[in-house]
Amino acid sequence: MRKPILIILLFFTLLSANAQQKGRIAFASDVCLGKSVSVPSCTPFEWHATGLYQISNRLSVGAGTGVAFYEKTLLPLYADVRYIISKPHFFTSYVECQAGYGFEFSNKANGGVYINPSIGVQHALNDRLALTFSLGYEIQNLERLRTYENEYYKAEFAEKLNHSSISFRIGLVFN
Amino acid sequence: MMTFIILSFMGFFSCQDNLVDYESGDVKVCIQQGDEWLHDFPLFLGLKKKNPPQIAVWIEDTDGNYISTVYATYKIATESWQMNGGNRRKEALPCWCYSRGVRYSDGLYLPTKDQPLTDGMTGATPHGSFNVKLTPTDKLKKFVVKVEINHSTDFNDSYPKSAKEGDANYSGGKDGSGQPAVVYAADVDLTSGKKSFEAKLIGHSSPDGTSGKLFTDMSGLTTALNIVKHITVNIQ
Repeated sequence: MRKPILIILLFFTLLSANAQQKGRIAFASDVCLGKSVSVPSCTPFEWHATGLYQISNRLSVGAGTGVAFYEKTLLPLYADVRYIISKPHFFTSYVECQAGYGFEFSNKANGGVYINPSIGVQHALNDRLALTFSLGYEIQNLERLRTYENEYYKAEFAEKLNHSSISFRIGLVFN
Repeated sequence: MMTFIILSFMGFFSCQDNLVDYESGDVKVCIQQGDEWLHDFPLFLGLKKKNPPQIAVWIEDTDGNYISTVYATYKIATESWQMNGGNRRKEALPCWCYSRGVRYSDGLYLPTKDQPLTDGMTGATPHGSFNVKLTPTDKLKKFVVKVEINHSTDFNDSYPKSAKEGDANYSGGKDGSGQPAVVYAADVDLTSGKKSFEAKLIGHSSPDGTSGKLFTDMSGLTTALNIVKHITVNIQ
């Protein structure tokens, strides 16, 4: 439990150190619903908070965390790359990829790799705030303990779940 | 930044716990994948995906009476087939289905979406070797561990896609099994002092899934014989 929290604290420390470079830092927050395309299926619901550092007019990199509800509640920690592919319009399109790891803290499950490439659009609400919509493909692996007991034995095995889903995100970017 | 990356990786790997712990006397059923564990399943436009096999592990007494299912893959346990064209896939694991002996409303011995197998017995199909732990009670001393394994669309010359319903080698049509399920068994005696019991291939199941009969003539089977490499039952 301690190490992921330390990593998250470190991330926000690094981010706040960089925040002195005003105008290059953005914070994004979004919620995500997924349509599972794997078996066993599980419809994920997620909330993410991401810090982004603008490297150029089009490219931003950052990291984020949040909470993801699958069969188990996961705490994702991921790197994020966002690239704006069109000139600023009413809707400005971008591609994004988040990759990291979803942590699970109970003793009957393990988290796993998290990847979510997506394509989206953002609409500037004002100089400092933009609304985003994106569509992506999410992969989240996790492992959980299964048990069954009867009068003859108790059975246990580790079930590896490889969840894939089409993800729909809506969020806000604070510049 | 490098420190952050290194710490991240340390964090990732230190958070992986071993979910199943073994103690003295526990029974470990080890299924080791063979060369044909993953099988090409046709999707569309010539695209294929690598599918792992359907598996059931169950226990019988030494007289062949069914005791209980230990493990069954999620798709057959919950009728969650994908792209099966409406086929309930009774040919998938018929030996296990008939041993279990639970007949459902449509006359088949397969669990349904509405009446799936008990949740704790089912798991996502493993993409490689895997183990099941059993902690036996005093009621379980001598028993047989049976494992039935099958790929869908695993056609060969002896079990072709073109076989017609009623033919001896009919296996459910174009979305069916192809080669029938193979069945392994290990006779386990916890009082013997032996620490390892090797499961032997004892036959194949009914190709079309219309009975739970075991067939010992394996001459028509090819790749199905290499789905697993070894199945062993180890006493800890």
